[in-house]
Amino acid sequence: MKELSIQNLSCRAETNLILKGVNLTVHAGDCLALLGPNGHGKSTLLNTLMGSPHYQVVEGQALLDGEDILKLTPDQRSKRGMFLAFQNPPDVPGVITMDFFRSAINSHQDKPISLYNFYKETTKAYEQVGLNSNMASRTLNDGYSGGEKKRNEILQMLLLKPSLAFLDEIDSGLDVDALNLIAKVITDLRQQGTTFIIISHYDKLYDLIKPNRSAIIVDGRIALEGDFSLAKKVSEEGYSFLERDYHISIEKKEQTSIGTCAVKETVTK
Amino acid sequence: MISSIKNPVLQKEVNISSDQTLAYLFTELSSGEYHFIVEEDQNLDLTLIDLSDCGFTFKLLFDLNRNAHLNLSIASFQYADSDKTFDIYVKHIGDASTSLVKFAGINSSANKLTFIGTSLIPKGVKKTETRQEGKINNLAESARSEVSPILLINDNDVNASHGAALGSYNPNALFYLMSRGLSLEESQKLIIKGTLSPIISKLQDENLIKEVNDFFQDKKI
Repeated sequence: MKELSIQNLSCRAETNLILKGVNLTVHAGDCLALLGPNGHGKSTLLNTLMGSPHYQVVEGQALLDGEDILKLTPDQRSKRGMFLAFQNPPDVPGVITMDFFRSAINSHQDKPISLYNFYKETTKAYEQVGLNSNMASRTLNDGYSGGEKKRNEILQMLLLKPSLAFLDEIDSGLDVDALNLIAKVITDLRQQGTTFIIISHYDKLYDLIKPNRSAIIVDGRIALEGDFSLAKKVSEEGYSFLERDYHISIEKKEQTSIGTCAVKETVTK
Repeated sequence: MISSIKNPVLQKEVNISSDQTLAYLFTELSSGEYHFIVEEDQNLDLTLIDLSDCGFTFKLLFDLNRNAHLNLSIASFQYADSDKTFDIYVKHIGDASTSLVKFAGINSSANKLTFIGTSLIPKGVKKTETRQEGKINNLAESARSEVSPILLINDNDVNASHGAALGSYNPNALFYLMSRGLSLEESQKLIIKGTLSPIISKLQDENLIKEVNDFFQDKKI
């Protein structure tokens, strides 16, 4: 990828408008720390970009090298090089991890991966994230601990080698060793050209990977952008400085889009 | 004795007088009622895989004599243009008889897939064990399914349990698979394979297992 340009993106979950006109451009090689108070739209933005069925785009576009990805299905977005490491990876009952990995890899290449190469690549990836490769024979995410699920997300990123990766709180639930391990994977992939948008509430991961850019979402909009020092400032001071220094209110304005409940309207009159 | 057969012609009444492991693949299954009598001290391990493209009401009755054991596994893929019903009735006639009935289904049709599993423990029959469990995933929005594991217990000296799981496949899970590059159809096929494969693998005959795998590979869902 060369550029992801998000223009005036608004979306809702059921009737709640969550994103209210996001404008953000990410260039190849960027590592952007996406910050913001809880519930202001960070995860919604990444999930909407990946095509989650929970969110309906109301207006706007997201151009990946000129193509509006919002018109694509999630698998088509993945084939364009996009990847989302989920904040809460779902259990997928019945699906064996190994079968899933193989199908995912094959969906990104013209010829199916050979058994030998599949074994070699998965074994190496399991080592890199510190998981036992025996887990490949288990049902996908089923019975995994929180930390194992997060490592499993990074493992899939290693297998798919995306050009644009979204990591949604990938560091929550990880012990210190795992955090270092995952930071190294991210750093290695950055050097190979992967562009990142990373959500985290803690500065430890950011300190390890040193994003070159930061952006703060407040109430469904990008309220402020800056370099790594902005992420450090949030880590040290929280979000209160936004109001003090920039007159940006961090209170959410509840807003419904369409299909407003008649009862609610009556009650609030 | 292990026997894996495609589209067998079933007898209306069968006496199981020696231990039997039977695995049947049905690509054509029609309505009918069949009665298995498992004699004293005998084991019946029966696996049924249904890939039939037409609807039916398929009823199996089992009489379990003293110390007889039944292990019944059924996998069904509903894509037919009419309803499919499996009605399983297990009667524990003799003491120390045991039964385990497992049903796994996928419904990707606009029609109904029903599993009714009944275990009857008559009064005076002792030290029995029974379990009925059914699970159906609806892959189509218009799919309708029913899982009814029923225990009719008339004696206290029994270890009995049942379980039912029924519902649409979690859209989060489908999104998760698709976000890794799998199309909706590929994702659904992976779910079908994963759900049914523990039972399909009991076919043991490699040619029949390949036939099932090829069926799902080629099948438009």
